Amino acid sequence: MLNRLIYRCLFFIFCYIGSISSLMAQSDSISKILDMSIEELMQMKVVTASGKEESKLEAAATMVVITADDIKKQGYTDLSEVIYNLPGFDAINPNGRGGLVAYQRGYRTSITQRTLLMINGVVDNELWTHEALIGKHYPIYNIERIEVLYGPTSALYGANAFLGIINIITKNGSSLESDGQKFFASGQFGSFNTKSMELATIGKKGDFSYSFSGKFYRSEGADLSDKWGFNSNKMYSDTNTWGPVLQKYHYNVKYGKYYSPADDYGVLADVSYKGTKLGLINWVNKEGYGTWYAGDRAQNNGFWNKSSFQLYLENKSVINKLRLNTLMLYRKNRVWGDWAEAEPDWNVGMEKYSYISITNWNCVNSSWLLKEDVIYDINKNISFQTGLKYERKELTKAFDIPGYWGAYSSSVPSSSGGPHGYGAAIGHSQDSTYEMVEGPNKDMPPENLLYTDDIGGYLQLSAHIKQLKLVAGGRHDYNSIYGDNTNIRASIIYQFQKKGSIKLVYGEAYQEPPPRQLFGGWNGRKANVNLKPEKAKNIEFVANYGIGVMSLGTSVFYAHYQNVIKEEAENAGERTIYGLELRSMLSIKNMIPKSSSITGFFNYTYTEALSSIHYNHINQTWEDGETQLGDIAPHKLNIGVNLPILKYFNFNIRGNYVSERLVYTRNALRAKDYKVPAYFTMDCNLSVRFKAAVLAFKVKNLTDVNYFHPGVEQADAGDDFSKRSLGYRNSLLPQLGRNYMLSLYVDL
Amino acid sequence: MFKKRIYIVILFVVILLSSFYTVQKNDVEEYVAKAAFIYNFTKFVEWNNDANSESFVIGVVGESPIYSALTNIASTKKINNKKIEVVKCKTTDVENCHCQILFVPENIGTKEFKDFLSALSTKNVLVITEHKGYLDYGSAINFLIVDNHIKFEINLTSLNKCNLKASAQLLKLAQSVQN
Repeated sequence: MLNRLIYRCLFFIFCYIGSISSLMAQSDSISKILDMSIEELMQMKVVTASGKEESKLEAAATMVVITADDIKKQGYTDLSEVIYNLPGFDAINPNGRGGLVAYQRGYRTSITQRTLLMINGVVDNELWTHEALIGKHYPIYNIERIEVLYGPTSALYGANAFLGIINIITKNGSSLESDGQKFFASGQFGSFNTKSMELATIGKKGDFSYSFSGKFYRSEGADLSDKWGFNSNKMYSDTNTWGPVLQKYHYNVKYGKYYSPADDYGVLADVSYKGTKLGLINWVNKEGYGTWYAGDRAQNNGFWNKSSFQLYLENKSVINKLRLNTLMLYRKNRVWGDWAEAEPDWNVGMEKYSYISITNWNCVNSSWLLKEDVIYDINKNISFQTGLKYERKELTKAFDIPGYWGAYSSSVPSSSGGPHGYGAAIGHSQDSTYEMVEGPNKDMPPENLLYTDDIGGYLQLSAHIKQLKLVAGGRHDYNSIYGDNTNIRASIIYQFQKKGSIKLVYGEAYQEPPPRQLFGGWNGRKANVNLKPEKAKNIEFVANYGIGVMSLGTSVFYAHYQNVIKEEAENAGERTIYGLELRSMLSIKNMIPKSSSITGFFNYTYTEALSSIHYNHINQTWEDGETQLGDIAPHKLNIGVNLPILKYFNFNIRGNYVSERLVYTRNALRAKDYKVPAYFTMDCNLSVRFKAAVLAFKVKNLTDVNYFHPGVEQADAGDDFSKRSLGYRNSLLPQLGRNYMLSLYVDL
Repeated sequence: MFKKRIYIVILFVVILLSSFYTVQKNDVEEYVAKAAFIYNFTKFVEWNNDANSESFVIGVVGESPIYSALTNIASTKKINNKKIEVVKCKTTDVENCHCQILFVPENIGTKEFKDFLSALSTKNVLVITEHKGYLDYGSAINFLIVDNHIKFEINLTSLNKCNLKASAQLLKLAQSVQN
């Protein structure tokens, strides 16, 4: 009944929007602005599809820009919500363990690790796993814009700019028109006892400026126990499976039920004087395991913690025709947490029982980076860009997990066999009690550390010949573990109108084998020191054009990948991916008097992803032979409309359609060629402004669609809930139903 | 249930596409502002051949949404106490388009622009463009859009060639002045 009402309301709203657009008249605007002086006209912001497109037109890649205005109007409260509405992404939400798993341009990976995530140009992917944590810890309201680049760009950015780049650019005090400061605060309350708060300020006095934003996010997390059998409370509380673990507590909550809370915070700050900036990135993401793992193998009531601390000094200076940018950076990443596990007893007739463990684990990594970029403008049409980078990394070799199946331990001796001979922390579900062992040391002992050196240099030429722009460049990188890598890029860009350009872009990239897969193994997860970097080659045609107040963009790409690193730490096979991305935005006059323009966007993505190897589920081996990679939806649509009403109200509605998709070749459900059903979800946000305050009410999954995402990593658990799961990782991930968030923003 | 969602998707697409169609016809905001700029420019530029004419003529080359914005201005405002007339000029016959201001939309190609500009260079016509690089080809004023704000640049040589005088105040407001 409610759904029908919502559909009807939506129908009338959109019919209204559609009809009023045809009734636009110019005379009101004309009479108002004719009395303005040229100075006043120059201050006036004009609505043009090309305005924020201009940088995209000349970028030597496909680029999508999300502005602060988009974030505000669409009611985004965290970075993951932005990703859902981007073309070219398959976003998987495990509802825990940190954030989204996003596959850019059809390249399926265990976690989000082939896309570079940058904050003001500083890479924030985790050092050990290369994970870009698209989570709720980043403050979002002090973001000026988010630039999303598509395609490999190692020729400029070096390692791991493999599938694309998400660069978050924060507001800067120096952008204020005069000396002064601005404050911003917001608070959110929502479903699942979710609370979050953000504070931000920017300021300027003469040559001195600063920017600060901080956020905390806490949530009990949704209870998805009734949506997927392997996440049911029956699985989490089975005494045969879990035995004495069920007597234990995690942060005052007893094991034995679905419980996946979140407790995240983040700070982004910088202080600048003239061209020198001291910057800080610091966040902790502390979340339960959500639906990632099957409940007969792992309790999701546990914390998988990740933190990033980065302190950097950046200097930008201009000497005649030289523009120099120096970056000196120290960073430290830590990944740690606790884990309650039930490994099925492999002895015949004992399958319903388990070897149980509750362990704590730790991994600490740090690096020093020195980078120099130089741009030399030979004349107004030709410029050279060159740069050098040196990075020294201190990396953990193996996860420090005392007492766990012979894993490295900084506290309990690894040789200690424990009660059953498999490790000091390994008990059995038939035991009457379970004793936890001492956790790892916070700092990593030197014997479990190794040091690597990265040296890289690049040269790029950019030339304008009338409306033609040519960009060509190459880069060489050396790593003390896996050796040399050379990558090139070339592009031709023709700007045929102020609002239009066409581009032909070729790019290469390489992805370093993550230290976790190089060194971080134990008997349940392999490591392989001989892993080679993955290689990417991509060619694409991009067209951007503006028609009236509408802007359109199209990208057609063909990408080939070699030395693909699988979940099992092996270089195996190649991938071929091709696709099409259509992007459009429009801005039309609002017929409602004294109301800003109506804006809308529409994206369509087509992706075909093929793997040269496939998983044989009968033999349980990887074999040669091309197949659909899986988990990548061939068709995806993102659509949204924003309707301002007078100065006070703003209504935004967005929809995402994801077509039916075959699951990943390794997913246990691929044995029966299972396809995850298509779905269409809608989110909306209504905000009311009163002076400096805005009250917003957001509804996600408006029509309460019951839908699933495919599982992550090996996705090997299967779907036979009458037995123990086939593997640790769920094959399907249930998604949230309708949920709500109330936000209050104060802008001073 | 799923069919309903498909209908919603189709409805979204149809409405957006229908909006696009109307938008193309009504290309507003940016051109309303540019028309207002052009109206303002007339207060800072002196023409030496308009004393005897009855109306102040603004020509628009080809098709541009600025035409309707300028027509709206013409219905309510005067320039130098003269009524404003807005005319469309064919790209092949610009030299016979008698006007004081000639607006050249962005969709006019470089070759066409250079061709008719050479015929206009000695006439007392203020040529206004909106295309990056056209100032170099001889346009007197060129519109730019910088961070969603309209700016303009001026070519003094072109102004002088056409016997036009721009006030110092206008030059001061320009993003850049080429000489």
